[in-house]
Amino acid sequence: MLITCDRHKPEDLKHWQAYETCDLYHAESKGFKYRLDKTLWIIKEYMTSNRFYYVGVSWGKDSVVLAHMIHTLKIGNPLFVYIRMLDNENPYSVIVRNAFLSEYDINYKEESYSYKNASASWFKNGKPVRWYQILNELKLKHGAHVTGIRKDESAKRKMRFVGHGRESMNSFAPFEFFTVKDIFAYLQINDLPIHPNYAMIGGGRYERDRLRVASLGNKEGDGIGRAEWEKEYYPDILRRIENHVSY
Amino acid sequence: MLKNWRLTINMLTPLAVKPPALDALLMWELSNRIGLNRSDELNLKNTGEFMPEKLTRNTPLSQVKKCEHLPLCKKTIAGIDVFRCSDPIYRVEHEYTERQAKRFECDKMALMLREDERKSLLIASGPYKMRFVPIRVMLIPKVVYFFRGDKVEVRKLLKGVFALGKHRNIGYGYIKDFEFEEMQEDYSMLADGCLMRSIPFVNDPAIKGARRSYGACKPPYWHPDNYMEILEPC
Repeated sequence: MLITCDRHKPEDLKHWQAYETCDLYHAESKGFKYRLDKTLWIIKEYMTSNRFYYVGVSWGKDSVVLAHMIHTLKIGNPLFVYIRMLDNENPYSVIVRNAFLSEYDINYKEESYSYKNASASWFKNGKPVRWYQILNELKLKHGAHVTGIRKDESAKRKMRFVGHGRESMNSFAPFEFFTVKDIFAYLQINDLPIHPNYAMIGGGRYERDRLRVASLGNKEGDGIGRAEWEKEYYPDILRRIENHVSY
Repeated sequence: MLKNWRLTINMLTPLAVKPPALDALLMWELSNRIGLNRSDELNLKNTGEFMPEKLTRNTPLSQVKKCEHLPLCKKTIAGIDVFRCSDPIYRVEHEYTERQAKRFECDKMALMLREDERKSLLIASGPYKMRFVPIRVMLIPKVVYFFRGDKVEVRKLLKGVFALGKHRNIGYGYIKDFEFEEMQEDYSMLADGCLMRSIPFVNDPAIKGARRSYGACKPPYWHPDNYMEILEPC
């Protein structure tokens, strides 16, 4: 269930309908069912091994699928944590959150975070030290970070899986075999809320698979056309960020 | 003579990103002519006399010389003077992405040189920075503006404009010709109640086809000092 908004153009929604049809076909394939069973088995095995963990969500496609899978397995009462970037958060992430929480009852917590209170020192990737402090605090309080990153996202992520495997002391990433097509197919067949960003495809000019829901106007992750995409779909919010006007 | 006009710009090549507002285009051209833009050839010739810094986002507008004497009428809305010209109106026949690429195969090039003649080349930044930038390109046969103002002066200013949009230096947005047509109705701000250009935010339910946004409603549109709550056509 795509959450529509006034930033979508008519040609975007037309392309999205075609994508939906493809997703439903993909959901019937044997490969999808095989990878789904395997992923559920991986998550189940981790959850039943008495680990100390929390599930990090950003309300993007992978997070929603991960949250739904963990919720439907009904093993224990895991904690779901969303780190909100108050200064430049995507305005639709909270709408996805509300849609998901209205359907599913989960143990949910939010950590709010603002650049105004950020430490003066910054890492090379543009993230302030405070960001990592929050992750560290969460690790000490709730254990390992269960994350929705996938092996097929990028070469860097692939290297992560090759180097560290699915599971390390600090994190657990169950989507080793689940692909981006599987993610969208899973969202469709389970009628889960889909972030509006994934349909902002410029009438087919942007790849749906490469779009992200991360906070806007960030220094990191602005390559591969991300900066141009933000300027096209969120120009008013970028201007507000530039002039420090809340939205 | 101040009248209502429809300006049609017939395009020759596809346009990159999007066409500019008419007042922004005229102000850009006027600022070039009076020497406010450093990149202007005339200004570069007179380096000894007048060489202002090129206007950037970091320069407050209050510190630069005003360039607002355009041959267009103005209307004051919510205390802000906006020029009476519509936003560009165009029909996109096809929209696609092209790439502006620049790459130096340093490893292979170095092998062609003798070892003692090899030097380091910075490709992470500067003039040799490697690029693979996506450019949004639109195939637009013509762009139409409605304005109220002096046609002769507008035509004079537009004489120096040979292309629209971004990346004009590499062939995008070339103009074929300009056509002026006199109009009885004034469609520069509103057309049958529909908003035709960005204006400062006013809570008027009579205005149709508008949505609230944040941005500029007078040139230079890219300067943060001009950003405010606005109504923009949708």
